[in-house]
Amino acid sequence: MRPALALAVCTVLLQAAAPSAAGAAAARPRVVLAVSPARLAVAVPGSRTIKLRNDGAERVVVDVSRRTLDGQAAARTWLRVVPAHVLLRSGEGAILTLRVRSPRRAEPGDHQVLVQLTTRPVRGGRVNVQVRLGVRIRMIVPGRIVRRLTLGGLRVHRQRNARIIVVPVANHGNVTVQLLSGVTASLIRHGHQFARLSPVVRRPLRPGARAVLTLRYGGRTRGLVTAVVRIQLGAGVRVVERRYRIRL
Amino acid sequence: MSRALLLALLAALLLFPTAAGASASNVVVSQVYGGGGNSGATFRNDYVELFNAGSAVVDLSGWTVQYATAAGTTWQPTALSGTIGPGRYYLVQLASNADVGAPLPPADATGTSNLGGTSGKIALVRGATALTCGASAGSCSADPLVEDLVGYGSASDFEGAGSAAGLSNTTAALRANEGCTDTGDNMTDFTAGTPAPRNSASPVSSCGGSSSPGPTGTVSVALDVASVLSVSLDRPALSFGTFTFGDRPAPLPERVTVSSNNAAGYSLVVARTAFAPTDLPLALSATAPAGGVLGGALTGGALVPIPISPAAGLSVGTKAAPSAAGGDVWATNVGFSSALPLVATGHYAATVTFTAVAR
Repeated sequence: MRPALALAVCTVLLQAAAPSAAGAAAARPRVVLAVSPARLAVAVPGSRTIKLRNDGAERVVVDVSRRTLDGQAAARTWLRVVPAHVLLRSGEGAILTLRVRSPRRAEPGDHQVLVQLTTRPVRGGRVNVQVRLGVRIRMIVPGRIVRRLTLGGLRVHRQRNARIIVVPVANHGNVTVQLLSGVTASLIRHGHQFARLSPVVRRPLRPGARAVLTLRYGGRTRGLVTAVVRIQLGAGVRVVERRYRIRL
Repeated sequence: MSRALLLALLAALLLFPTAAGASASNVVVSQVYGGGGNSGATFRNDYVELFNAGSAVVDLSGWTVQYATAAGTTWQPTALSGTIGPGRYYLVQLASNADVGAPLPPADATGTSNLGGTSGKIALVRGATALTCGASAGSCSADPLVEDLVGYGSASDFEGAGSAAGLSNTTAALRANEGCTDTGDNMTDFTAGTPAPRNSASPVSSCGGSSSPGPTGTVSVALDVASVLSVSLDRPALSFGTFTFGDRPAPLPERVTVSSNNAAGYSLVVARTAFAPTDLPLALSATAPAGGVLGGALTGGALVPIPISPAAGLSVGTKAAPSAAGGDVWATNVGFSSALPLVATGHYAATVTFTAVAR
């Protein structure tokens, strides 16, 4: 057989074999990442494991990261996941260990952290696509939850066309509270409520912290009125209320 | 059964077995009665009966029996004390509505929870802190401190495939086989029957089984299926080719398949990195699978710009139920929301990230 003819035969054979291999690879997606469980709870201190599996046709490197879900950034640091990176060939699995240490001065109750498992992108395209799985971790810090807020003395600052009502609030409990939409102030005169004010409170109030609620009244009523400030922290939690006699 | 469903079941059974059964200590809730003192009630008080199906004495100090309404997540703990021996029962007497019905046998612990007569949730907890779970099925079982959970009637949370049957003023939830049966499924482990409370002085009940008269035997097989979440792509890289200023490359399809057995469903979000040295208006359109709800911005079918991390991602959609057996396919198209701006020549690349999170 002449060399040119032999080369041509080899080429035909390889091309004939290629479609079957390609067909097998095409039978499953190229990138498939699975995790179990998809959410879990762990008592602090404690540890749990999660299982990770690459069911795709290509090998992947998975990076582990953490993100807080309830705004308490410190909770993320209590949780350690090992290993932080893992290489998984097609069909391979791995076990990740989650360890939660006992944090000092941690607030009792639940703290939510999202463990993110992200495949590294496959380079080569204009747009590379990667997948990420989020595992919700609920870390349970033992202890009795105490929610106690106190409202301080109210002051009225007079502006030309408005009255600015200032009320200090202190958190004497042992958990951070989100005031947000739970604070209202009603202005009452002769038994009739003529204004309902809601302060803008953006930041959470940590245990032992104080804040000032600022309410702006732009109405025309002047003179002696009753102001009722209420804080409702959620269903089942005692409402904090204080009445003031003020002059607008 | 389809091949895909078989594979999914095998994956769940073989690849992700769970670590533990329903009760680590073998102490379980064996009876629940919520009709105490109601009209026509058999007994004057509500009660919860515990049973130690194991072979060791268990110290109940610091443990609580907790109650929540059928749909509620606010739990009322009742403290326990003392021990419960192997094969022994433990009676927790709870509230009474009126002086109607027979008094209970002497209780081993008492509380004031007023159980729902027809529906509710009871948890045996290795701790005193009130639970906050129970909004959805499986949420309390995920708590490692929950030793046993019984949802009855229209309870929102329970062990296994369903809650125990609804009760009445003359029926209690009775765990089968004198309290020995614990397959982790309230629906099959309990039946509604005549209440018969037992306390620590009641006769011992052995779960060892009696000797068989012939060469036959039965094996109880039980397993828990853990939650699984997976996401797959059919194209890990998209190449749009070469374009110039004013062109608008045609969108490229990307099928994102999400598999989840979580009863509460999942969410799917997309974000990206910026193109360097100059960003380009990368965007995405999508269609939802059956039962899925498309993200608000995508409902019109138009290409919506993909946010650049760390900004909050674009919600592709959510589903409030487990995925289809073969996974839910979110058919997306990745393209550009406007014509390409005038930028320097070169190779522009970015990374798009699809994130799935169980709800």
